[in-house]
Amino acid sequence: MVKINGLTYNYSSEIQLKFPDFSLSKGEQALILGQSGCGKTTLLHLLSGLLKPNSGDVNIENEDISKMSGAVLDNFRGANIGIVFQTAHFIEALTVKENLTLTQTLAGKSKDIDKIKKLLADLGVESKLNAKLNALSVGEKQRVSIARALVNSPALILADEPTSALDDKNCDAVLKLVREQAKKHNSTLLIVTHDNRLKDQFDKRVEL
Amino acid sequence: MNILKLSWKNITSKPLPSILSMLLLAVGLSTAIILKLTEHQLTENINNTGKDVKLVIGAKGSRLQLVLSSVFQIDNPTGNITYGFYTLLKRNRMIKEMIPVSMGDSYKRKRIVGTNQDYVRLFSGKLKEGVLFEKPLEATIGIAVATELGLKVGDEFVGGHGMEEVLHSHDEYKYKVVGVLRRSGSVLDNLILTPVQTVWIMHAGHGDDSEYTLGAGDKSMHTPEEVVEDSLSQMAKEHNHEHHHHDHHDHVEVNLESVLANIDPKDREITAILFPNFSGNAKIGVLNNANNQPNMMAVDPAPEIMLLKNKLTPFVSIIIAISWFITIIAMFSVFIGLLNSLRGRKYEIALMRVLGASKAKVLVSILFEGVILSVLGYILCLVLSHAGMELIGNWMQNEYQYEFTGWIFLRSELTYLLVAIAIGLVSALFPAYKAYKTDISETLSK
Repeated sequence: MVKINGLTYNYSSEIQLKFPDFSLSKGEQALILGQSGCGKTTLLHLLSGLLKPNSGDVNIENEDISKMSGAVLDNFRGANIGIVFQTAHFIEALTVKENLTLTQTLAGKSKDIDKIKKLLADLGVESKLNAKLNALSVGEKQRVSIARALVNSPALILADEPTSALDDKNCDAVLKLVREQAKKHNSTLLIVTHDNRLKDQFDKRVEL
Repeated sequence: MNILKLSWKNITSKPLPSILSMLLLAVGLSTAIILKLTEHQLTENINNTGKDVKLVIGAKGSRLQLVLSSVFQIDNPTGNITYGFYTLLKRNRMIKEMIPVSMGDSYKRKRIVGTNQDYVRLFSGKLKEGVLFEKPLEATIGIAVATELGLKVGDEFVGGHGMEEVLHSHDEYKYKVVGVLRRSGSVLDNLILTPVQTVWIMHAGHGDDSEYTLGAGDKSMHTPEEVVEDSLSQMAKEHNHEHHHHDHHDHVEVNLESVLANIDPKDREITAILFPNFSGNAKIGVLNNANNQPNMMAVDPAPEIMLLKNKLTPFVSIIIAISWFITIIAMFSVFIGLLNSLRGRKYEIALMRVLGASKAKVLVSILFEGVILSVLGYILCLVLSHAGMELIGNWMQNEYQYEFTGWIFLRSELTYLLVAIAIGLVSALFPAYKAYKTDISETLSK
């Protein structure tokens, strides 16, 4: 369901990135490992259609998103890809609930408060439903950002260094939650990281 | 959670800069709307009051002053003319209607005008309650006089000499309110009307004392005295006649009659004569007649009003310029406010795009913020301008003898909603374009 083929991206004529081909089946969970500056984030942006490759293609759910553009691409991303960032960012003017309903409506889905409540409960932050984002701790924010990545039950969840800012205890907890939830929603999970703590926990690994 | 609601939340989450932008916009637009409201009411007053007066005859002096004082009840009179001249003109058959006005007295800053009932008809005045004044000391009052001073039919009051400040109370005689007029949007609303004879009675005994003559009185213009004698005897007859029908008023009537009869013809003065509905020939005749009198002049109000309006134009232009200046500053304030707020929200914009919002949606959400701010500013402006007009109106009422109100709404105020929305859109255009152009990948990588 995720397949990349001959993917390259040129930052400039000197800096050219070439990515290995790989594919993931539905529901599979994999790790992309690499040191800083080797193009991990670039790959993640290529996979989510935030960047256009110079060559090669990115197939998600049998659609080549490298050929998509404009609102079609934005729409596809919103509906099919959930992203967890290293640092959780939100619309600060909104509450947790409003951030999640906005995620639903921007993806073209209808508002589903029950689903949001259930997700927050699964992630242990159900009491924060109506809280403002600036009232949350770093760990709580990361959990809410996982909830946001999952709220539309996307086909693909991309996580960019989700654990590198966390201590061992939280690292395990967050990883466990992401993997559990991805499995529950039958989403393919791809984690991009340089965090070696995760290395042994995944069978499928792509080294950059 | 739709885009409009998101824009609203973004505005309300940082209320201070939003309120500043809104206030500036509201003040700028209010200035323009207050000007419009004032202009509208002034024009209405000028039209309602001035349109049917084709000619004014009064004492020589400033032509504009004569029009302002005797038609609009704003300025001080130019002086007095004899009642005799009025009765002389009455013999002219070509003149269908003429109205004497006699000013100089007031009650609690409301002008008392001695006149006849035609004065009420001139401004299409209708009675709200009671009757029109008929006999000396009877008063029919305008609606603003009734409401502000709390006077009603049957009440009595003591007038005083002077129009701004009362120099001397006429406490020998009391006015009696016999009627209240409905609102007419003309000068009537603010006046106390009484027969001209009342004014003479009030001033009887003070006639030789210059302190008590009306206005800036020129006392040397009592030419056609034989006519005055005629009118005097005629009036005395009228009052003798009425006498029989009002027995319970005997005491006052007798008193007034004898007072009236004893008033020297040269003390029977009026301030001006108003002429409605003139035929062209009669106008020329009267004009010549009046202008040949040593101390009188005849003035056509229309060109004088035009002159006044022209004199006001520069002031109006300055106020319009100021209102535009404030509005343009408000536009910059909305612009800078949005730009500032977006700088801090660059990551949020990228996030929206990640979550599936198209570039156009992001653009629209920022434009919405500008429009919401400006619509709120417009609503605030309506409150400010009408409350402000009401306040200014209270002050102007004393200056112009016309009731200004903040509680009228003009259709042109809706145009300002469009102006406000346009300002919101224009000032949000560049910030929205910047948001539209946000490089998501680069922003998220930072």
